[in-house]
Amino acid sequence: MPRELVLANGLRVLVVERPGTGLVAVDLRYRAGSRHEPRGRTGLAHLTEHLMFAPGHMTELEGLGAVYDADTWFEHTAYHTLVRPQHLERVLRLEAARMRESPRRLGAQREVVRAEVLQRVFAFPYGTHLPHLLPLCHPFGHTPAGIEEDLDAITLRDCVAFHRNWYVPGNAVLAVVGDVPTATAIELAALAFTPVPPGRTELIAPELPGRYVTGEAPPRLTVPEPQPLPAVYQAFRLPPEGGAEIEAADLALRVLAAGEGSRLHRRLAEEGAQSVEVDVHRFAVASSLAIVKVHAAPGSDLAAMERAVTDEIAELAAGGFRAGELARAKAMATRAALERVETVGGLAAELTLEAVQTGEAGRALTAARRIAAVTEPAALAAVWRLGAPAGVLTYLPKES
Amino acid sequence: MGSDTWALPALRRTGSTVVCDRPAGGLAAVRLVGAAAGPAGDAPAWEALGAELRVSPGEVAFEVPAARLEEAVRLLAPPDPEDSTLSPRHAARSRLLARLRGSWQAGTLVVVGEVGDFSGQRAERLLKLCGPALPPGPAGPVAVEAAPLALPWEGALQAHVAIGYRVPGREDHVAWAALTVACRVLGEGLFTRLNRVLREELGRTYGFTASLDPGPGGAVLLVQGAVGDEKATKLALGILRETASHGVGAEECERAVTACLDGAWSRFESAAGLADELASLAAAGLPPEWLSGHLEALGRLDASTVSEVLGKHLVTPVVVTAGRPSIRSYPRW
Repeated sequence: MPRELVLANGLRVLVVERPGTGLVAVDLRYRAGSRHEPRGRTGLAHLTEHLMFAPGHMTELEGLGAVYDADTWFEHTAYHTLVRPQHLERVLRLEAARMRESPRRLGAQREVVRAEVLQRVFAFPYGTHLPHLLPLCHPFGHTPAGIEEDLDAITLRDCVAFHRNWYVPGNAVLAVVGDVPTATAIELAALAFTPVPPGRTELIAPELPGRYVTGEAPPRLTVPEPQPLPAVYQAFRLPPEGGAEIEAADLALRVLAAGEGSRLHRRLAEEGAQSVEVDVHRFAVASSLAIVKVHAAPGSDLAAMERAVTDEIAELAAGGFRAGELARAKAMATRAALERVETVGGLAAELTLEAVQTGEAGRALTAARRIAAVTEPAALAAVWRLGAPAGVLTYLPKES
Repeated sequence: MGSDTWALPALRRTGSTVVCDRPAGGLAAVRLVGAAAGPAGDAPAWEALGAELRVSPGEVAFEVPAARLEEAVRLLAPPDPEDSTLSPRHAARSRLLARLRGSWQAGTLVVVGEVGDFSGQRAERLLKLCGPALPPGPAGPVAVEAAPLALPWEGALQAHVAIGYRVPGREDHVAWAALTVACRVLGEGLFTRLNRVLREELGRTYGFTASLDPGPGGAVLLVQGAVGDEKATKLALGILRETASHGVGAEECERAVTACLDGAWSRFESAAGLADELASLAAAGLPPEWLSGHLEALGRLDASTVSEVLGKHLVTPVVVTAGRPSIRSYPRW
């Protein structure tokens, strides 16, 4: 389990020692994502993240041989740095400076963000599915990519205000994982971050623009886009992250739609559907969604493929698991869980993620155990809870 | 705290296997390279072990919970049981043929992770490996076509530009180390030469990368990025020309060398990272110790050596652009 402490300014610090790795990972995650953006300023969290890479600091990090990155998500923004242990103190001081110092100029970052969104969302096959699905069926209403009109309207003052409001110690979790004695890591973290003033202590997220739609008929959207194949994406509501039910739901979804041994893949292959790919993605936030994806051969009956998903859920709920199905799902989930925390950087990121999502950082180290503990009745109950889709997105490929 | 330079961990080797037992968070990474890496059975059987199989020409790769490693390697075994009682005569013949022209039995199995007493010899027998992966033959002569190639791509929102130079392969330690440093100087960070200008100053790209792609008879130094127009490509080519003609400075070189040497710790931290490198070397007929030689060559580099290698090899860029040469408008989101 990680060693935990909270500094006087409210920063939560997590430390795990991993001797022999020759590395130390520093992960600082703020509860500040696209759901915290004010109206008319979607994309603000992401643009602010870009501005927090101060050129002088980054040049210094590159000189230390550090590997660094950041990501902005719906409920949080995280900064990840991997470095040799002798540079830990310097990296922590640079992170503390990032927390303390507001952005100073927009520079070219609005254009960099525009290029990033084009490359990673709109130029990536089916990369638009979250921007389509969120307004359709999730309370968050928009993704961190935001709306381009809003991106154009954001000012430096907006970014400074966002930083001032949300990049404060009491709204952040720091993890230090690696080849450094725990006592040393704690001492260096305290030295670097104690001088950072606490800032705002009452943090109130803006009201969410959307809500879950409930009822028999899920909201639907059909989009003609230049995608490789026709596809149907169905979103299902999931239990909250951190509860006892989420692992069971994850396993149920793997039985249903993950891999070639899944029920959906077998069913569609047996029905002679060509070039079909089935997958499921768990979109993990406080109000999580699972997105079951079916990519179909040109000319396929998309309505039949959509029905196949709901039919399989109904059959699974009624008939229970077949021999080996749950074991296969557990094996796949276990390997994925081990991979997430194999490296010091992976573990540091999981610790801060669990801390901000569930409040229990230690869950990062117990995923395999929790997966093993899921019983067949619990997984079956999770199938029952899936119910009807919360939203359906259909892609009809078109020539540009 | 760790020592200064990453060192190749202890390996257990047979003629056709390389096994590295080291902490990996309960995982093992497996790579089968060479002619032995054929079709690898049905996906659901692998999924039942928790492995997600990746099959590419000449390589089968997967990670698996270490507790399921033996079962997974058994799944890799060729299905034909007929020659399980291979006579010495047949064994000698088959091994000879494998060495001379490569049969399905030639290949190298690389296993890295928490493997315990996993036996390379047993795996070798099980997989019927009779010789290491054969290195690829020399590449035939290829005339470098210097004229840029534009691939129209309907629906593209950006132009994806790839700029390549033919460079020496990994056999030349000094040149490879110098080119590794050159990649670091050019594009492996926000404030490297390409990204400092094209991304941070001008906002014309989300980022450029620079990497070395080894292959038969040499390698390619590959620079890639997505841009909005031809001007960004011209700027990138200008930076590359400038780097080739004026070389790198002493301080810049020293920082890049440090970053490359320190980077080995993170690059080979995961079982998969080290397995990928060992498999790539095996596929090229190079021993694992090549890595130690590479790190030593990196440590001996100076700016004049790097500059000399760049001046010699970054001469004729090959440019391929997929997408629209100039994106004047795109659908707003």
